[in-house]
Amino acid sequence: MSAGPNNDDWVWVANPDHYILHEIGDSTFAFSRVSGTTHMLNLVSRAMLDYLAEHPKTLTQIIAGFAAYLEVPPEECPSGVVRRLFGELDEVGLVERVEP
Amino acid sequence: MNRRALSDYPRSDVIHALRSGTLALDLGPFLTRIKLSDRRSIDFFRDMYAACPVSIDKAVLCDFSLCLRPPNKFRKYFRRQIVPDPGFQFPAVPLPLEMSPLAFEMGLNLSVALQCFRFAIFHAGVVADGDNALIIAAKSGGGKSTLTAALMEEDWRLLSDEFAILDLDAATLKAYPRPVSLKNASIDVVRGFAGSGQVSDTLHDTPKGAIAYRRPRPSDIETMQRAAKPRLILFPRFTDGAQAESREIDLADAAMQLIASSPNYQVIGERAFSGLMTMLEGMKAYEIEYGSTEDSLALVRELWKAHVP
Repeated sequence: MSAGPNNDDWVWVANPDHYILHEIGDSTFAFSRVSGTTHMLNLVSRAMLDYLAEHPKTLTQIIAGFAAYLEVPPEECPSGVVRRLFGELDEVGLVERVEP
Repeated sequence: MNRRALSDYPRSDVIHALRSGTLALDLGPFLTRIKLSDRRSIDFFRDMYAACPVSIDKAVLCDFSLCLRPPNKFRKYFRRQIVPDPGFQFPAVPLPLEMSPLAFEMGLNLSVALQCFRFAIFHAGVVADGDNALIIAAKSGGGKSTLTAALMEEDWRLLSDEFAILDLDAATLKAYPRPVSLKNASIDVVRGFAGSGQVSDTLHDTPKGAIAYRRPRPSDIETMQRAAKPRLILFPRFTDGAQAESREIDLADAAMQLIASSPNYQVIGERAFSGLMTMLEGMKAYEIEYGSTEDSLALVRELWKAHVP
């Protein structure tokens, strides 16, 4: 399922039972047990995956809270970047939509 | 299983076993039943695989089965052609009969690449210094086989010219020492340092250009059950006239390139991922560029000395 047009009633989560992580240097490899594919994540994508694994969130909550999670000022983490990062994780199936 | 070196069997027994499809090649982790009917592929097999253990007992169970056959009855008699038949439907382009050694080697590659699921397979050459392995990963034409053959002259063990075969439990590489495939200009280069007697006749005008094969040495066959722990990954690039240089690359990038080169990684799934990640622990990866075989060997010596105790 792609992020595509989003509905703020939708909540998203990263389910650690559905992937395996392995770090090599500054990169994290994520093997999706759902798709059987391997993905390479940078530090920020990895942080978003961890952020979404904490508990389900709407996209609005993700955009509003991710900068604080990274402990950086909001202007260093613009909403467009957060949307794109989230969209990439959604596109490859590492985050899932769940019932609220 | 009763097995001996191919060269220990009487010629007539080998030819009969090949023609009737009862010969089993016992190489590295795979047993392959082979059926050949044309003289050229039989001569090629008897020459290049002379030191390999085989059985001519038809009761032996094999991992793979490979038959070289005409694509249809017509092509058995007119403008004779041949295709490798690994026992499953595959869109192999028929080759002229005189290219049957190429069809044979392609067939063995197909068998391993598409039918092996016990090990993760990556497209790369592998040589070993004792129990430490060097992975030579390259796209076709990048110089992988020439470098592999050159390292054999420096007493590295040949594990494989074509496949890094990863034991998923031990994170070590298995040997599958088949002839090294040489293309175009590299044929004379390898003949120059290995000697003409170590290289097969050249097949001209194949779909890949001129092709010849450097035979594995008896010592490669004798030590083929000895797995090796990979320590270094090289991505070689031969560029005519280039200055020799090496550049360390991110191991994560190297991993993604290996995954992209694997025919069975996606099928094996989680075990392949875990095995590959374990294999990569502590490894280093480099791109090397060079304009001569001497330069490539000097780069390998330097990097190996720097990273492998």
